[in-house]
Amino acid sequence: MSWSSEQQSIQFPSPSLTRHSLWRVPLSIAQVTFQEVLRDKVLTQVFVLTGLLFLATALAAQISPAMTSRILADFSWGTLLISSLVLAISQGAIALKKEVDRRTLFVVLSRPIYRSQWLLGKFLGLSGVILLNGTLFATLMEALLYLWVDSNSFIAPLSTRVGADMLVIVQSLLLVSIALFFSMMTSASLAIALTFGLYLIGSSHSQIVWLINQNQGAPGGILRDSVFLIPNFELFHLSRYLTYGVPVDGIFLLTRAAYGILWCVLFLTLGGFILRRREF
Amino acid sequence: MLSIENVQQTFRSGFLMHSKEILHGVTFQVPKGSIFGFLGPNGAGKTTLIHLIVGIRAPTRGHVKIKGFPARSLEAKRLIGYLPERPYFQEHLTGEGLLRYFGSLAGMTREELGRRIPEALESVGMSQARKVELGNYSKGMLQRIGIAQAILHHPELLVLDEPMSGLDPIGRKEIRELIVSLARQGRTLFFSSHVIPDVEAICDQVAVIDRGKMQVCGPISDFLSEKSELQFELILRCDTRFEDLLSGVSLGGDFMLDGLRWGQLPEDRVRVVVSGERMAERFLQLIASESRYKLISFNPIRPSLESLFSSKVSVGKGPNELVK
Repeated sequence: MSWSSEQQSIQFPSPSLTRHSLWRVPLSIAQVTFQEVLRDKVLTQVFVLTGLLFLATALAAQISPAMTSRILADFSWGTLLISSLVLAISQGAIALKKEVDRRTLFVVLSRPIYRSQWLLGKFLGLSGVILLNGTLFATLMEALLYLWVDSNSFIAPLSTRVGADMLVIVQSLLLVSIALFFSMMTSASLAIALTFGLYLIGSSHSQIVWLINQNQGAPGGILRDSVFLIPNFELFHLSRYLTYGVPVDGIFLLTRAAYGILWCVLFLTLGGFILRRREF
Repeated sequence: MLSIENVQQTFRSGFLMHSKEILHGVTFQVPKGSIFGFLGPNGAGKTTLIHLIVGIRAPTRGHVKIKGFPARSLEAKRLIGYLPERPYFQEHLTGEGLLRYFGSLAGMTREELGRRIPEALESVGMSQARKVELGNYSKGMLQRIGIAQAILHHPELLVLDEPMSGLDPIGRKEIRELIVSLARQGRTLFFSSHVIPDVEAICDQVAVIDRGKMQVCGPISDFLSEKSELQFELILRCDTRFEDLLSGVSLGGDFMLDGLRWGQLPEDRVRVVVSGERMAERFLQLIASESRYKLISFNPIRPSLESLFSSKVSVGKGPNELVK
């Protein structure tokens, strides 16, 4: 091998160059993150879960042919919920640790970028994976429903089914941002535990408020107020709408989606604030 | 080019946040256009200081400036190319994809990337492997592609953390040659190592750190000329015992004389090391007068950094260890 041994001087760029697009860096990071996670986990997970769903539905259809459509709709929504939950929490919590362990983060942070751009890029990349996972899964389920269910069977309207899937995806994006937020200040395993804990509390929002309302004292008032500082994950669960076939409209879905996105922005802003001060 | 002023770094760890001082008031300058070797045993604080230079950490006290810009500023980061120790990049990327990724993070446009990626790959001898995924790269190839990403955006200052770590002798020689060729293009190179010959071979400036404290710093020639006396190595063939020669000239009865060391080699040969030109001359006259001893070779021993480091670095205490 021969190295280039020219002695010519090169033109060094000026340190005061115009700052490049704020979006280009996050998008580059998002693209690499998306490719990496997709290659690692997602396709395998989708295929395994789809296979299991096929088996479960076939069994359910044999046990109760009349209820096949309902079982399939409920089961597919539940499977999408669980797979997105696992994907969002695990990938969000280990994103930072993985990059620190293999020292790729150090090269990235030595570049002229803001740390919050890295965080945003990670979020966008993982969001892309969540979106792809959800879309693939929902499409497969719709195909199954189309193939297996006759037109006389009871099934929730398409808007409800699509809306339920969409809100699961929004919920997963929120979980990614929460997991990223916790991973900025603690270990990956603790970030997983904290995110899951917050999800459990947020999924029991109405029960917690009801319990607090039983106690009308001063501590109850503080608790009742503080529960609103936790995202209400119940808003993303349309299982009852699916079960009873209640139709939903665009405004209904958009307000809930906007609620989730606002929480994402809040957690990412806090995460960026912590990351800016974090030492590696 | 690079200025480190009274830098102190403290880490806090454990539940009770016990603090541990890693760097104690380190101060030095790296002149523009130099190849600066940063030597120290394992655990001396080399990587910590490099993290401060590339803006990954902020010093607890003191200042790190690159061309007058604080190391954590975007302006300073535009001037730096960085290769971490034992780089491990995203395995799914190809060599070209990796450069595209890091180039875009450095703010390079699509056109600049299209022009400079082939140049960077060519300069590290990796053009053939540009479409190969990094998961299939050898350690040496990863090191080279790591250097390619560091030089891609034409940084003025290259910071390489143990660039020859884990490489075989041929790989190390190649990286040394590459570092020299990069310096010829007008770059300033700052690289850390715990391997003395690597630094000695290519650096014009050197600094030694041990347990977070700067031991020596300056032009390498200054340290080599510090040794007042040159040493010479002689290989002799002896028909009789070498000790007889020494006792015959009343140099003393023991074998380790002041300024003279010797050791037996196979086939009746003896290796003698003498210190100082006067001693060497005297010894050569002695050999010439004695027919039982035949001089096979006579070579000056080049002054080395080893002895300097031995005196400056506390070897063998804890994790510190220098490779000689």
